[in-house]
Amino acid sequence: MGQLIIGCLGLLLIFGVIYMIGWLLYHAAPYLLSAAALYGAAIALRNYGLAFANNVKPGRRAP
Amino acid sequence: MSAIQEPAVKSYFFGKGYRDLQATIAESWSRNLVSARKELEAARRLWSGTYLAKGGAILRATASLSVILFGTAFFLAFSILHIAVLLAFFLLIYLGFTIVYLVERGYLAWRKLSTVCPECHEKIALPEYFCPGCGEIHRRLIPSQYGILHHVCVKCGTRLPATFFLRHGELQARCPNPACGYLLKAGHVESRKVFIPIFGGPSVGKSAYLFAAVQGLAAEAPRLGFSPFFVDTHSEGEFARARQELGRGRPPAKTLASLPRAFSLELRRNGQGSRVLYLYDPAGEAFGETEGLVLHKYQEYLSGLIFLIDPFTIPAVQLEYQDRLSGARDALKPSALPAEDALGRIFINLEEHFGQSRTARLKLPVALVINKVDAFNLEDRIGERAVRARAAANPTTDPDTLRNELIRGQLVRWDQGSLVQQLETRCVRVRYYTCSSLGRMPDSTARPFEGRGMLAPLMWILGTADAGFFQSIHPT
Repeated sequence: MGQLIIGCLGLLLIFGVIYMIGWLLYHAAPYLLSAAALYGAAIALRNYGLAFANNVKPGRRAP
Repeated sequence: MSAIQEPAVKSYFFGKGYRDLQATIAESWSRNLVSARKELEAARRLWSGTYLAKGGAILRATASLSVILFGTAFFLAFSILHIAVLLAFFLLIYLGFTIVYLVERGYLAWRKLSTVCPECHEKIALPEYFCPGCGEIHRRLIPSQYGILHHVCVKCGTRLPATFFLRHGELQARCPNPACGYLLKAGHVESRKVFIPIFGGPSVGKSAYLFAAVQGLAAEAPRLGFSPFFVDTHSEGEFARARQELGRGRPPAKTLASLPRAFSLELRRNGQGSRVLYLYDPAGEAFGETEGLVLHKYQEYLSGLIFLIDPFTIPAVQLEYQDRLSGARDALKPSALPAEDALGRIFINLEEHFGQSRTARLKLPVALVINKVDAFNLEDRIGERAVRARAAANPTTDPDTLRNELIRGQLVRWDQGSLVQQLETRCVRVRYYTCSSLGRMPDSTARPFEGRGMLAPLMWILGTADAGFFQSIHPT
C-alpha cells in the first residue's frame, strides 16, 4: 500500500514537473522569441549604424 | 547640350549625399546578410544537440529571421529619413543660391553693371574666372549647387567668391568667346561703362583725337573731381607711347586694325563709384565700305558717338584754301573719304546689322567735330576764338548754341547741307564742335603737339549719356 502511494506521488510529481515545464515553456516562449527578435533587431540597427558611419561623410572638402 | 563640368566641389546635398545613401543601404544589407547567416549557422549547430540546445537553436533562428525583417524595416525607415534630410537641405540650398543669384542679377541690372570684352566687343553674361591658387578655369562662378557664396576649387581647394557681392570680379578673368579668350581686368568685369567710338574716314585724326582727349581728361581730372585709372596695361602702354610721340612733335602711328580694341579708362569719383570709359578708334579704312563695320559689335550698345571730319575733304574748303593748300598738303594729309559717305555707311551699317530702323532716330548724343582747325585761319572762322567773339557780341545767348549755329551755318555754306540734314534727320541729339587734335600743323620740328577742343564733345556725350554721374562737369 505504501509503495502504491509512493508510486502515485512519484507519478504526480513527474506529471507536475512536466506540467510545470510545459507551463513555463508555454508562457516563456513568446518572451524568449521576442528577446530573440529584439536581439536580431539590435543587430540590424547596429549594422545600419556602422554602414552609416562608414559611408555618410558630409562636408565640402577638396579631394 | 552637354553640361559644362565645373572644377569645383559640388554641395553634399546635390550629389554625394545620394551616393552615400546608396552605399549605406548596400553596406547595411551585406552586414545584415552576414549577421543572419551567422545566426543560422549557430542554430544549425544547436539543433543537433539536447532539447535545451534545440530550444536555443529555435531562438537563434528567430534572431536570424529578425535580422532580415528588422534590417529591411530599418533600412526602409532610415532611408526615408535620410532622403527627407537630404531633400530638406537640397531645397534650402537651392532656395539659397537661387535667391542670391536673382538678387545679384537684379542688382547688376539695376546699377547697369555689365561685362564687355574690349577685344571682341561681346557683351558677356558670365566671364570665365581663373582659380588664384592653381589657374584652373571656372566657367560658372555663380551661386549654384557648387556653393552659394563660395566655390571650392576641386584641384587645389582654394575658396573662390561666387558672387558679385564678394567681389569675384577682382579675380583674373577671361572672355568666354572661344575665338577670343582675352584676359579681362577688374574694370572690364561687372562695372558701369560708357561706350564712345570715334568715327570718321582715314586721316581725319581719330587716333590723335583719342590720345589728346585722354591726356586732356587726365589733366582736367582733379578739377572735374575724378581720378582716372587705366584698366589694363595695354591701354596704359598705348597711351604712354602716344604721349611720347606727341611730346616729340610726331603724330601717333596710324591705326591699322579695322576692328579696334577698346581703349579703357576708369574714372572714379569719391563716394559715387566709378565709370569705365570704352573709347574705340577703328581704322578709317573701315568706313570705306559698309561691310567694314559689320564686326564692330560695340555699335549694339553705344552711349554716344563722336563723328570726326576733316574740313579739307570738303571741296568748298579746298577751293577756298587752294593757294595755300598745295604747300601744306603733306602736313595736313587731307582725308580721301568724304564725310557724308562715312556717315552714310555708319547709318547703313546700324540699320543692316544692329537693328536700327530706317525711320527711327538715334537717341544717343552725336558730336560732329571738325578737326584740324589749327590750319590757316579756321580757328578764327569756326573755332573757339570765333565762338568767344560771337559770345561777346551776344552775351545773353548760350555759348553752346552760338557754337552750334556757327559751325552748322559754316558747314551749310561749304555745301555740306546734306551732311547736316542727314545727321539731324537721323539723330535726336546733335552738337557741333571744332578741335585741333595736334594743336598745330605738323612740321619738321620736335615741338610737342598740344591738342585743344577734344574734351568738350567727350564731356558733353558723357554728361548726356550718364547725367547722374557726369552732371556737374563743365569743361572749359
